[in-house]
Amino acid sequence: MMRRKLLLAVLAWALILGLPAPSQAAKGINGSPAVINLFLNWQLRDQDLPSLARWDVVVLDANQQARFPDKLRKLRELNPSIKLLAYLPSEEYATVHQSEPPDYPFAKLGAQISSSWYAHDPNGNLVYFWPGQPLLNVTQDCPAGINGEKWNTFFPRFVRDQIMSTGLWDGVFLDNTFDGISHFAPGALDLNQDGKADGKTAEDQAWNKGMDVMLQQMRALNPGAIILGNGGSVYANRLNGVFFEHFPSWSWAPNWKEVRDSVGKNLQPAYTSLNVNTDNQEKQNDYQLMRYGLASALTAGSDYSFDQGSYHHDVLWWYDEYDTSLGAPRAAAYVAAAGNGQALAPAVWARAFQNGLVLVNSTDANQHINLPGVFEKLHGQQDASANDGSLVTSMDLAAHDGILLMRRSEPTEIRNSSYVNGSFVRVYDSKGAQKANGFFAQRTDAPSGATVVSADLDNDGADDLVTAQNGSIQVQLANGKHYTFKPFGKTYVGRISLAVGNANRDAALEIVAGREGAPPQVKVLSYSGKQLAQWNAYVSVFTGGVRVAIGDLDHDGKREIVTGAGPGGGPHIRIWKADGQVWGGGFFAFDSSESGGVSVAVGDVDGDGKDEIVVGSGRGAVPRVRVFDGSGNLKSQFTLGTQPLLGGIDVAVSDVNNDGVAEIVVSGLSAF
Amino acid sequence: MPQKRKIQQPPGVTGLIKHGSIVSLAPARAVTSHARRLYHERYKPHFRYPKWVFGFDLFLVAIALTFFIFDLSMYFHAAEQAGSGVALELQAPALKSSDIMPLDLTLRSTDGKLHQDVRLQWHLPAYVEVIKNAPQPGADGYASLGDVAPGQDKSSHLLVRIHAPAGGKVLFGFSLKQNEPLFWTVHNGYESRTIESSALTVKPVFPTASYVTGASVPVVVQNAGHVAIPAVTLRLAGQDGAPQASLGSNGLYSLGQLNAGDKRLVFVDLGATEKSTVSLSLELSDGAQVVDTWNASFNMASGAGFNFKAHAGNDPGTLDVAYQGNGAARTLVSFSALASGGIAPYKIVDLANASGTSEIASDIPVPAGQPWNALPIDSSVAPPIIGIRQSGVASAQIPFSANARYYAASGDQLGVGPLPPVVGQPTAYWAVWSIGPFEANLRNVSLSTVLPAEVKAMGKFASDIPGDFKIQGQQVTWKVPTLDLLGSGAASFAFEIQATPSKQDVSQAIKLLDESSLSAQTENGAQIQSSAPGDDSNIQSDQKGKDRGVVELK
Repeated sequence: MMRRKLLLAVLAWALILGLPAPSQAAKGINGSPAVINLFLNWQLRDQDLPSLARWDVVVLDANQQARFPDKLRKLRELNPSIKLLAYLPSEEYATVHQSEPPDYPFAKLGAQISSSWYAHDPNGNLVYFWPGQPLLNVTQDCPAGINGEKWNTFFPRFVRDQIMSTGLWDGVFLDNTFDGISHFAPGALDLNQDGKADGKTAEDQAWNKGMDVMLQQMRALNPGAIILGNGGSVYANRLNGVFFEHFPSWSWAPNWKEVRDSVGKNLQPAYTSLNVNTDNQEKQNDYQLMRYGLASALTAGSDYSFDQGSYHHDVLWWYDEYDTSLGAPRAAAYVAAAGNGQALAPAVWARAFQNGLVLVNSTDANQHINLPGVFEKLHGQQDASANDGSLVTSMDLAAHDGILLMRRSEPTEIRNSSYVNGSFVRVYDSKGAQKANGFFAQRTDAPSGATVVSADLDNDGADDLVTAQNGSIQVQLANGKHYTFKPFGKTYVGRISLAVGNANRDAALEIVAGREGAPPQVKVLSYSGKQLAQWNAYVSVFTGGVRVAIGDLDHDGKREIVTGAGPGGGPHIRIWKADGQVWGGGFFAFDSSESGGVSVAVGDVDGDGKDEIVVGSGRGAVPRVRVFDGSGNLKSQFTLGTQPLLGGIDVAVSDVNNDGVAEIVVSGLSAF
Repeated sequence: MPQKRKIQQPPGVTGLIKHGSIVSLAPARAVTSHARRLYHERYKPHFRYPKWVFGFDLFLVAIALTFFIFDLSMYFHAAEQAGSGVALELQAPALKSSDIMPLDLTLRSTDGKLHQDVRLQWHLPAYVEVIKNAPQPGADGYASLGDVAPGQDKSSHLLVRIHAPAGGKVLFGFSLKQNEPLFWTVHNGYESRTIESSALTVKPVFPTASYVTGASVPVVVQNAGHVAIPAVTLRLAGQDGAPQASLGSNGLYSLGQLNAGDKRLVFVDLGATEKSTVSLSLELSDGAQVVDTWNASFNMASGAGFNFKAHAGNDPGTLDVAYQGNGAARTLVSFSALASGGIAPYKIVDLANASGTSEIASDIPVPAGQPWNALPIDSSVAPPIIGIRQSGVASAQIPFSANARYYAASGDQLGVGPLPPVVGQPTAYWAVWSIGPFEANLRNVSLSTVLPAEVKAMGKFASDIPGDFKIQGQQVTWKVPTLDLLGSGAASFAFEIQATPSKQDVSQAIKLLDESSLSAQTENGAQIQSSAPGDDSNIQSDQKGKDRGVVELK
């Protein structure tokens, strides 16, 4: 018994250690917008996988499980949160599949379909949904096949046995889950095979009942699967989501209401999705149409799909808006302008989210909207006219347009990384693209000029505040407790570099303090001031001091402490274990002849699951930021000017816009 | 009782062989009989499976013996190594303390053999700071140089800064490790070099001079190196005959950072003395170690041959000097003991051979609010006689401005609301007070303004300097106890304001800020009063937002 436990433990550790590091966070895991891609191309090129992995939900042809099983696994490796759905028509079968290799699921399906399951006209002829795709009889009147099964009970079992059993899929995307058939098969049908036409009303009623049975059975046999249906909202309560293709198919307001209502009826987790497309035209840059659909989806509460149309559900179009993270919705959508009080009248609809606001103008005219506060337009790379990064309290929105607005950045959003209170900060991604307007990081609950870090030190779910000024560190816990200590002695009144992180794997975070003077001492302290470790990062006579940061550079769960030399020293970086032992060799972040020191921060700025070392140039140098991995390999860099900067720049790392990937926060650049 | 079996002698075996075998196997029997006895006494009565236990123990002893013999052979084999077979050559310029020095160590195979995986470790004294190390050493301190083939050179390069006085010796130690078959060999060596000079020096302005009692001895501290030295201090280490001699605070004068090429003037005040000869000893430190010293003796003189009086001129950066006497007279003028930037921190001016008043303008950078010094020099005698230093604070005019901004210098939007402003709609701007550049620290700094009626302060402010920001009605004040401008040279304070134009503002810019005032004191006690004009919605200092201030009616 004991041996078995040991074996299990070893296996568990092997699994943990062997798990690939996530290289990309799913968009939807941090809230809206969640995006879905119907990628029905039979090809699945290796070079497309990283792009495809950016979507939250990807629908692939069911045959891909046999054609490219490793690529499906690769997608999941690239994005562990991705949901992969197998595309399967629910009421037709393309006979061309019969010539495919026998291990392909559609070939297997074809081999098992009883000829009596196909729908016939009163003359006994097959009825075709598309050329080459005979219609299957979904109704309860369908004759029983070999095992006494009808199509609408066989198909759910097939999905269980041949699709979900592979372990490659999170669910299925059932095409054409219509509640009637007369609209799609205008000729006479003999679904009960009595040699007479059933009549439109009867065939629709039978179809509705048969489809309902199929979906109930689908849920019963595949209890954990995500089941999406493309065919209207009648079965919204049987499904995890309804796919609304070609939105708005006839009129925005009733269609939007149907989407919204469908979301409310879905089984959880809900995946109702709204698809807008360019009507099979190559119009990737129709940004207004994309925004209009996206804003409609967000206000209705659905996921979103934008592509070229039913003939080209296989594009990889990605938009600036997809990269935002609005967070969870705060309330239902409301009419912000131009409404006449009628529920289905054209209007400007708005919906507040945790991190922003979404507006959609469904009217035929430009509308002026007064916003409930200050919002920031996206700093877009694609449609600069709409996403120009400006701060707005009101705005004009064109007819049939939408927009995503972000809440204005606040100092309290800089978390787990230190900055100087009152400094002007700018926010960049790891490649140097500006992510938000610069702002003054001035907390009123901390003294100006103090070094501050906001973090949940005591793991109680509330942010605490650490400040350092004049050689003293003050800890203000959210529960009202205060601690003050002078880690470098009573006589030291200089600056202290601060970092906060878990240095010893207990629940609480520790404070790492760097003396910005001689000797360049590093101390690891509990938040109550108890010293846990100390060492000199550089030769003790070096007067420039040391800057500190903490993070998990190798993704092993243990934090490393990174030090950078202060002014007067070369731009040298050293990496330590939390107890002061050398972790890895040091390296020069910039040219070794520079003597203005460096600032350092640590965080996962590229979303690869491992923390990077972010280094800011020191005094008297042209302001630059460089991003290194834990081995000192340069991953990215950018320059923030052409002239040397007297005071140098300071860097911090924090997920300011809550998109799951940390941004680089730079201070020290002149605001005026 | 069983009979003893008779040993059958095989045919052809002689007695010689038999006895020879018995004798030759005697040592083995000694061991086996001892082992047998051990087995019967210690194992058989005590263990359930004594043969297994005994066998296992014997196995362990055999392994231990094997390792012991192997180690012994390795030791003797290693001891046979006659040398590393690799020559090391240290190349370095004449050592200079407080400056960056390159050190190159070249390795060469001298035994005509290939030396595999050669690794090098430097052993440097604590006062040698390593700036750069190529190739980088690993966690064990050794840098890998790879294989060294015959005729091939491999090098290790260091960039160091030596914190030790000239004249001392530096012991550069090395450990060389190379991968021989089956084991590593380590060889150690060292080389001693003398520190020839120091980049940081202290020298007298007048190598030969006499001083009147109460005079000051001017010395120049210079960083002739290539890098900044962040914390330079000069200490009065000793005196003879000048018990009241003083320098800085308690004999220690901090010069702060000296950039490459900087020269600074420091006065050592002699105080009153009755001796005819006095001696001084100064020690100059680069923040870590004393790197230069100055020891000198000089004669005291009864007095200079002329009267001398200096005071700040009306124009910033000037001195008015009045003198009266006979013979050649000169004066050493220093407007700031902290003058830097590679420029001589003082100048010596010839005064006319007659009585009079002269205005001396400085061609030294004149920081407002900084102290000036003037030394009378009687150059009519040899050596010249240095009189009593006179000093004061140069008149101060501090740059001060007040502006409104909608955009930051980087183009980031700070303000919110319509631009140009629109009647009835609020537009938020940021007001900015800027002080400097100014090369003095200030205290009791107070900035204030009264906002125009259509403008209100929103309560948001920003500064990385500790202070007290207050809004009382339309009055905005910011008080800062101390403002350290020596580091950055400038400071700014910002606060958010909001203007809502009315109909009568249409087609014109609106006033956002009225005049602002500044009051402060320098550390030397100079009072500073300054004012800055206001700003309107055309915000001329805002490159991106300027000229967009004319109010519109929408």
